[in-house]
Amino acid sequence: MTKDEFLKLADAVFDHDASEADLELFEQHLELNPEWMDEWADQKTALLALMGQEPIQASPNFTPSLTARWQAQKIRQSIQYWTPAALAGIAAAIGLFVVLQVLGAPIQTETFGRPEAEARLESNTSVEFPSLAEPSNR
Amino acid sequence: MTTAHRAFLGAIMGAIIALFLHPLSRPWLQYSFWQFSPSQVVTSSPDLAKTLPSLPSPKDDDDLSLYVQLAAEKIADGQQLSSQDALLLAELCRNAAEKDPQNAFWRQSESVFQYALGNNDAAETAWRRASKRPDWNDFQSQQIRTFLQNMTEESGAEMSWHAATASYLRSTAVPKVIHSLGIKLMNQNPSLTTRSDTFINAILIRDQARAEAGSFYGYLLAETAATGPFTVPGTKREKTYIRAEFPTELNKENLSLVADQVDRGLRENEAFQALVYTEGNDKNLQRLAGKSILLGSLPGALLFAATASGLLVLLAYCVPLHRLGDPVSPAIPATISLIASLGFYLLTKQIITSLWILLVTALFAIHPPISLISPSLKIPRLSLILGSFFCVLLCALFAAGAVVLSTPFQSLAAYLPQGWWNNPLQFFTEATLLVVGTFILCNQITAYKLRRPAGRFCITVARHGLAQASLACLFCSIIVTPAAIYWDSKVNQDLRKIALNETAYYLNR
Repeated sequence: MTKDEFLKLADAVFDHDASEADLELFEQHLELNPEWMDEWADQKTALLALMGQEPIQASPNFTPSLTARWQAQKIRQSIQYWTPAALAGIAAAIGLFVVLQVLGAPIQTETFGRPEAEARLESNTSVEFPSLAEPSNR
Repeated sequence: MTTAHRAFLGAIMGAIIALFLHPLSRPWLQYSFWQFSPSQVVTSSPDLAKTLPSLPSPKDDDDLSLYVQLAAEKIADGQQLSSQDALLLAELCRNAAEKDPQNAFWRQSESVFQYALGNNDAAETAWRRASKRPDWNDFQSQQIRTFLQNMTEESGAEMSWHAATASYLRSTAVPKVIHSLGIKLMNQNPSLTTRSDTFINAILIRDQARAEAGSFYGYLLAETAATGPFTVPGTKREKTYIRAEFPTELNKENLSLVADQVDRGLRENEAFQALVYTEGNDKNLQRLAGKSILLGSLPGALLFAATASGLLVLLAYCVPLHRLGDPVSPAIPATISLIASLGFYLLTKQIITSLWILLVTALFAIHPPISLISPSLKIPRLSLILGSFFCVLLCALFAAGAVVLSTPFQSLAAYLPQGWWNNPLQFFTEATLLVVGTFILCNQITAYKLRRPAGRFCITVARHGLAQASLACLFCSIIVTPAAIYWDSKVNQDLRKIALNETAYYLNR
């Protein structure tokens, strides 16, 4: 975003014409380029002076950037702002529950190659071997 | 935050809650996250000879087999049994052999204890009787099943590291002691009958010891019985000839049934040598055990790293950067760096690491003059990316540390090969100092170039980087947990087979 675009966006924000997306964009660039905000405030003061109006004397703690942050904070506290997060959270939780249910299905233990081999775990039958003359049986 | 960012955060939180709520996944998050103590079952299970805290009264054969295994462990360690103990065990084994007449284990054990008492004739008689029994069961498989069940109850889920631990806890002292006894008996009486009795006893152990090491003692004893107990002079070819002639010798003495049994046993020995006693079995088990540790502790370790990183983010945000005044006098960071490096050197005597601490912290004393400090708060994108990279590395160290401290790792550490995990404190101290130091160094250089106070710059980058790393760890733990559950069930199939019957596992793989 260029400085001019930012200045226009700042006008929209302070005229309450900015959308939620505009507010986010404004806030991001405010953090990246705080000097642009100072410039906007200077321009605004000069404009008000040209129009013969007294510029509003903000207290040192009440800067335009603080106002912008307050605007953003107000939106953050609204339910609509967090609706995507809540929906995504519910969807992710349901999806994971389904995956875990599928994983939790009983797993059939693979038996050894020959059924009698598995039986050796339980009974003490001796291991059966083919004779060395018949190696192809293994 | 954009809508996508908020949705991503929400999805992560929802998934983490689901993982904690679901009974299948909850146990997988405990190790490396809040469970760091050693497993009570592994340290003091009453079911296995190697973990038995105190001897139970011998109510049944299962308990008595624990007595025999413990005594065998003692003999195998080179200690001597007292006469009273040996006598008691010999009597108990004789009684058990009468009640369980098919099981050669009791007669062989009786022979061991009779020999320890000096009753050589009684030992030979028991040895001969043992060779007439068709089975050999030391009750360890049943004990391991109970052990695995207790482990599952303790963990809340069946995990592969349980079976890996059980595999290593199977005692092979009884086959070892019996192998030693067989050699002694053959030396004492090198007759064909003693050799054939020894051979048959050895084959029983080879087939039914159910652990590769135990079975190998049976194999060795059978080979020794076939060639005779004495050192055979001559070439390998001559030894092979003597071995092959063993059934013929038995046939000449009209022991054709035994000769057939021996002939078959010798051929089976060759098959066992080819299939079971192969190189790499130990490494295979170690590899599976390593996998089981990772699968059992990685989900929790990632959550631990995410939490630790999140706490560091909170700590970084506790520093009121916007309220800080002018940069402090250079003397303060210089003094702190000197004290820190000297203190570290006195504690550890590691000169390179101490110099590294001195370098990294002393550089905070250098900053641009206040008049030249840039008013801009902008952080270059490259610094943010580098910062995130180092924070991810730090999280990886946190996760590795959590794995090393986890219950599965502690239960299996003694059986793993040597590595950095044997001295984790030194490794993690040095690795953490290297990662954090490099992070600080990079940011100090960038801050100086941008004419910004280095400390504030570092904290700002750390806030961003640690938050990113924390989110990355959370995301990874969500992906890794179901994957770990799935892969663990696969690894568990192999490890359970090894724990319950290692010989059959290698024969049938």
